[in-house]
Amino acid sequence: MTDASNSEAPTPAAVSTDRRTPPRRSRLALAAGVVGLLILAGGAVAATGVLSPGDVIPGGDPAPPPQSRLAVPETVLLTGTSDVVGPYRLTAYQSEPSKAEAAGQPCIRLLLTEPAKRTPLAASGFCGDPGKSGLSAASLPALDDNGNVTLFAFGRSPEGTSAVDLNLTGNAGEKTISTKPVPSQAEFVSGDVWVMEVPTNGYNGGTVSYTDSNGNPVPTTTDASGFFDRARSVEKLQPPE
Amino acid sequence: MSTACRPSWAGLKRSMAVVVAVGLMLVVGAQDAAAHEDCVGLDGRGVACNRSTGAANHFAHWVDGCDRLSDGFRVRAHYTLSGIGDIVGNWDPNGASSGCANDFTNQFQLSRQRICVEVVGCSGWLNH
Repeated sequence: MTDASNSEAPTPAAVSTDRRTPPRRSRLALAAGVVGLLILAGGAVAATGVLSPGDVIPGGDPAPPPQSRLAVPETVLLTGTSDVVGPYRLTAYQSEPSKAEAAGQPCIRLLLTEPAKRTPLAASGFCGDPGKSGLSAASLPALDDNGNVTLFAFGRSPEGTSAVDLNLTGNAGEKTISTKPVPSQAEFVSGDVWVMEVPTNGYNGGTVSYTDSNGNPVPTTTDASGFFDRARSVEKLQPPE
Repeated sequence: MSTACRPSWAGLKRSMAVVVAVGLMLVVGAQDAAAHEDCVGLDGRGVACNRSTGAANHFAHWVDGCDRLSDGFRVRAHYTLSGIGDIVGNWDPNGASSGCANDFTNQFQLSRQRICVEVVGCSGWLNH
């Protein structure tokens, strides 16, 4: 304003005004263009190729498998392949606001990246930090296109956990399967994370436990019978038409 | 006011058009991915919520099972996927602490859900 009043002179001011106006308009248009490009980039298909722990998958509009993209970014925690249902990955993300839970909760989910058409769920997960036991565990039952079921157990454990054990019981007797958790690659998910594929034939219950960083068993267990409830419920599903 | 200070209305209109266009893109994008959410609860002990989002031909359904009362009883959602049947959700892994268990499907439609509390029982079905 001060500059404009001080620079008043018919022809030079007009010329200087013309020189000033286009840059302001261009800057606005450029900013709008950048915003537009960012919006388009957000809706773009996620990068193809092998994902590794620590990779961040951009959020965007919902997308079908294999992306099964969330609206928020996901950090890859670990990946694997099942003989029954193919590749999977465990990721971390922060929850969006919803009636169920507050925004910003630390969440993990186990996603099948090539789900069979017959499998009901592309992913299962949970949000929130573990309780007093330090262990959080959930399951993902899955089907191949022939209706064969498999079951994944996955979850979180304290940093440095030596092993997570799933102690199975059932008609087949007792069996323990174990896995070594890996450190979370997401800063908002503390501790370690783990995934196990669980045999279901002859087993219908069990407990999840872990040994700490010193190799000492922690004397708290999590009941795993609910995992098998889910496997059974999925086995009973009708094939889709 | 000098000529140097007078705004260019043509320029302003062009700038506004750009801003409106960007704004429309944001609004339309948001509507395409707008979430629809319904919940059913049981006596304040837990809730089962479904969140649905859709954009073009892509949809995603979440079912959340949330423990809301620290009473020692676990909570999980039950739900039905259209055409194939009923599924039992995960027990909420951390009990009544913040956060819920969730299942995610983008291949089947959700037709109903309810919340079940260990020993106590289940809510009525919330149909969609």
